[in-house]
Amino acid sequence: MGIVPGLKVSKSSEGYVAGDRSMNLLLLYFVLGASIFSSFAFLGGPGWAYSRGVAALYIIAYGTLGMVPLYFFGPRARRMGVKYGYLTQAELLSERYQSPFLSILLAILTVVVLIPYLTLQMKGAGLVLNTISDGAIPYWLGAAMAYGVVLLYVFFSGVMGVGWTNTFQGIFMLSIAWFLGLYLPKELHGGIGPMFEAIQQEGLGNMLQAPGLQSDGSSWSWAGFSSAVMISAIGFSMWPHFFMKTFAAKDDRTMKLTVVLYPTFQLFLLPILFIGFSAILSFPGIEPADTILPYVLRNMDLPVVLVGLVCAGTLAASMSSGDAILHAAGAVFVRDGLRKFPQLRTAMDQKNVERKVIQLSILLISILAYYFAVISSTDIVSLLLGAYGGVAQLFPLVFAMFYWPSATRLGALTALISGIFVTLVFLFWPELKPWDIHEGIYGLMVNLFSLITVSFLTQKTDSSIVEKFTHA
Amino acid sequence: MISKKQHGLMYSVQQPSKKPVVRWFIAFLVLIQFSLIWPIYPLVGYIEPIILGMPFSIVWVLLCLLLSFSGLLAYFLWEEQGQKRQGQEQQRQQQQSHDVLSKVEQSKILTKDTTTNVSFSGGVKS
Repeated sequence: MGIVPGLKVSKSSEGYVAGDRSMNLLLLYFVLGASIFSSFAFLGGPGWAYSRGVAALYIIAYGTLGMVPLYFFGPRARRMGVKYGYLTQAELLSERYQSPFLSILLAILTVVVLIPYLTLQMKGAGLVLNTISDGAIPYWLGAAMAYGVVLLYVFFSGVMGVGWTNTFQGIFMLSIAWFLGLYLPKELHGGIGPMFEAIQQEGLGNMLQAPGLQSDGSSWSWAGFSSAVMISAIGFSMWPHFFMKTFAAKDDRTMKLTVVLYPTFQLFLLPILFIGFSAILSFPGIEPADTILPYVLRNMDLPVVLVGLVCAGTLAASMSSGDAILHAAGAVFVRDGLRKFPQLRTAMDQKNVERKVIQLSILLISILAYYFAVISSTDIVSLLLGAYGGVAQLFPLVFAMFYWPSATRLGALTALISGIFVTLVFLFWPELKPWDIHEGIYGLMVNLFSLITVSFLTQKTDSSIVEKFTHA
Repeated sequence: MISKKQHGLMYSVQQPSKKPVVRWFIAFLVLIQFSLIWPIYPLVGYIEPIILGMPFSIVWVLLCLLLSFSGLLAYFLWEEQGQKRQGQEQQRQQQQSHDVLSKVEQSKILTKDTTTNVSFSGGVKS
């Protein structure tokens, strides 16, 4: 399904990466929407509702406005893309701040933050296939099979393949989510109202009281909840695989309307959370909480067809996010990383192999992610949350690119490096934090401070370059 | 002459009138954001009242989501209408300057028509 549309777009990397800048509203809506319906949403969402109650609402809370910055940045970035041929956000930023070094830095950052994201998707796929087959397909084989298919269509058709498959998978997942979210509470408790009443009567009312619980079962602090929502809302639109899609939009109107319609996708997360709530009383004590959906399915005597459909839905969720991520990571690594080294660029141009090199990087990145998913036992969820803190550090740079003419190269570089440094320090040594808020917020504060002070202290960027952006 | 003056008129009226709306829109977005976290969400994030079977902590987040969706949609439509009006305005101006030209030519034949034309463009200016 994914390969056919790829035959229609051109063979250049513009065709491969941005679908010849021709995505219409339907495609763009589902590409952006389905990417968020990742296995985190299908497995992590119910898992959070199951173990932490309304804390899971944070997923809806940050998504409510998380996409809105693209309403303002998106059309500008898109027009710049059409005019100067840009395909990634690093290309924009390195031109504005006149720094190839920034571009290489961003390429590394992109791959580093996308790998845990991808690993999570692979784990989801492996888990689901393992569950439906009742263990007949081992976890490692399941992950490998699902991502073999993803690789195949990402390889041959690029972003248009991603678009069409996401549209089909998206519609499919939405139907599954609503069906299960209404069916399970009805089957287990006789409806949504009785379900919440029962939870309250069992003395678990604090699960339903905002902001819910922490993973150890104690109440989450407002500072913790609020800063997690903030950092995710800021980082959301900065994920390279989201931001890059602005270049694939057909026109400004499509871009804006996609952002406007985005909350309708968020609404579909609600039934997914109901799945988790419905299991609190019926299936207590499941560890890890993320496996609650497959566990419920296996233990409820549901028709085989239904279980199959749900697993296919989760698999679709995992794959539709995975493909967009894989695709973005490969494209950014080559265009913003490798191409900034002059020898490599001439070599690639002479042999006209850029597209092949992107495909090769995609293969390498997926092997690396597979390693983390199957062999290494690193805690991926905490890595992903850390990655959000890192991605959010791009926000001040992107904002200043379009709206603050005084921002300079050194300002941008110190801002990004110091922001990431502070985020990493508090990620690995949380006991150093003065208050219990997300480490990314500390990073952002330092980031903003350095961007402003250093920009004032250093010489301004050539106004002809700045105006290209502020008047875009 | 006339079209130049009207250009000036258009900028002096439309440009500043767009800014407050953008500012209100951004204020609206900030308000929504803080309704979803501290300090507003703690005031309302309780179980009671239960609406449609759901605790109010959940209903509130959904309300914010719907509100931000309606706000975004309204802003998008407003922007689009502004563009359309701007396009029409420009078209009308072209039309008008075209009309004026043709009427000036007509006035060589019919003097009565010119007087109505002058009063019309005077009305636009004020």
